[in-house]
Amino acid sequence: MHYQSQRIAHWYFRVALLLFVLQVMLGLWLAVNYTFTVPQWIVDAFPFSTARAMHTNLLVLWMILGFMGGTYYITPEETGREIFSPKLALIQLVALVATGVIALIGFLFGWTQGRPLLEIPRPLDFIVVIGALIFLFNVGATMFKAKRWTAIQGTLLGGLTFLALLYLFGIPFYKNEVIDWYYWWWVVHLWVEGAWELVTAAIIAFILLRLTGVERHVVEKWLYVELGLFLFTGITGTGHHYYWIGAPKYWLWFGGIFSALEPLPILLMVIDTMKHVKERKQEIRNPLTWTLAIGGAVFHFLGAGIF
Amino acid sequence: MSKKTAFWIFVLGTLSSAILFLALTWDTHRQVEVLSNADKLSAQVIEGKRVFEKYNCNDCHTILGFGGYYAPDMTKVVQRVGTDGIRFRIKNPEKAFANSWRKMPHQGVTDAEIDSLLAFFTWVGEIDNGDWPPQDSTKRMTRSEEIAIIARGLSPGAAVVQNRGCLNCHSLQGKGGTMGPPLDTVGRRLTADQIRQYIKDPKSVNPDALMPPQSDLSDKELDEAARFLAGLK
Repeated sequence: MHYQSQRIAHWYFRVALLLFVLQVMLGLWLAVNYTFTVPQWIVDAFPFSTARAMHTNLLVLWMILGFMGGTYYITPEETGREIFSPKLALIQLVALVATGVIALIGFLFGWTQGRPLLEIPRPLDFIVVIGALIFLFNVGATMFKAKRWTAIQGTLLGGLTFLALLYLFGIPFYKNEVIDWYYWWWVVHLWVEGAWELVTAAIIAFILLRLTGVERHVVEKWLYVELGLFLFTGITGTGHHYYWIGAPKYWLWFGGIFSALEPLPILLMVIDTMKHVKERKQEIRNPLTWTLAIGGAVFHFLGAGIF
Repeated sequence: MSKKTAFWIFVLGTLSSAILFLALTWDTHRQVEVLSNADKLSAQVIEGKRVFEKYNCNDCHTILGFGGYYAPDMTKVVQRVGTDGIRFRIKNPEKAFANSWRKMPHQGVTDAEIDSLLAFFTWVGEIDNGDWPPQDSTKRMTRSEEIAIIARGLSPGAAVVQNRGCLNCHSLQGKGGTMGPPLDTVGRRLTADQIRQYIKDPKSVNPDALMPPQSDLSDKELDEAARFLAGLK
């Protein structure tokens, strides 16, 4: 760590870890619901649907806080200057966590938007949007002031902007259930196979660069190829969710073909990671991070590519 | 490969897919109007969707294939259990699911809200969505029927007659039950349509019929069984 403002990332990671533990606990409760017959009075007080809403929203929240913390850690090193405003970064964390806590308590009392994964009620959505805007402003301002653009930070900022934009499609009330699912997947699929891929690719590229000492232009070259393949397959690959929702039948073709190609870029990412490690120019001083980076790429391939 | 080439792979890959996707989105909007019968989206149907969301139904149930995967799919629920069946389940989950492994909560849904919900489910059930989910498909054959067709070379109708217990009461070539008349020459007396109607609701043809209505047969199973039986002459 070379910059004071990188410390903000600690707070993000601590909160993310806490939320992760909560998510796992609720996940175990959901498993109980599948394994045993839960008495009617418990089902009435705390139904499966409520537990599931809490479980999945905790996942989304901790993962996004993790991305944001990671960005606050990486941005100073990539730009060579402190974060524009560490205070804003903390305000934003408090705002997002407060929204999360209110939403979780609200679910217990039946306050919900009632759409899977997007249960956070609409008034709270606007606080989420404000939090995201503060974040993008803070990171963007840091990058603009530094006037030093790298492919890694561009990807990071691009991915996070894309993520925030897509969230907007989950906010309106759609009268038509078919159209509802159509745009629901813009949030869910294009987050996972679009925005998150960009963020992951940027973070992995950053770690590889620091860890292996391979030249920046080599790392960034592979980053571009991966991004091109991610977005080429991922965007139209959204169609593999449109087979049975009442959308036109041609989605079977577009969704099928493009999503069959989706594992390719992730496979490339795994190969690329291995290759860089092999051709490293320096001793790897932090084997734990190295293992994590490779493990991340491999699990990414298994989770997002195969399943 | 130079970094510049790589950059262009990124730009062209992203743009081409995005343009294709947006064009298909435009066309999908156009076609969904027809496929979903958007002209039948009445105020009550839309209100029903709000009720569906208010009680977070979708975090246990699926609809159009997506949701909680904990409770049954709601896409064709009207066809499956009927509007009265839905009303009973919502109002008395403890009775409706007394013997079920999984329970449904009392939600305190009002009668007016249930009416809207039923309008919503009725509208959803009419969406042309490629006959999803398969378990509610009118073209459904059971797994054992499919095995009989593929592995033993039976005609679909013969597979239905064998697997659905017809021969517990009726007989073919002397094999089967004696409760009902033999079926060997049933095609001489009745046409396929008449047989179909009889299987579905025997009392509608003969008020004194002892045979129970075979209401759990899918349309496809009824068609195939009737066609097979009508051919026995």
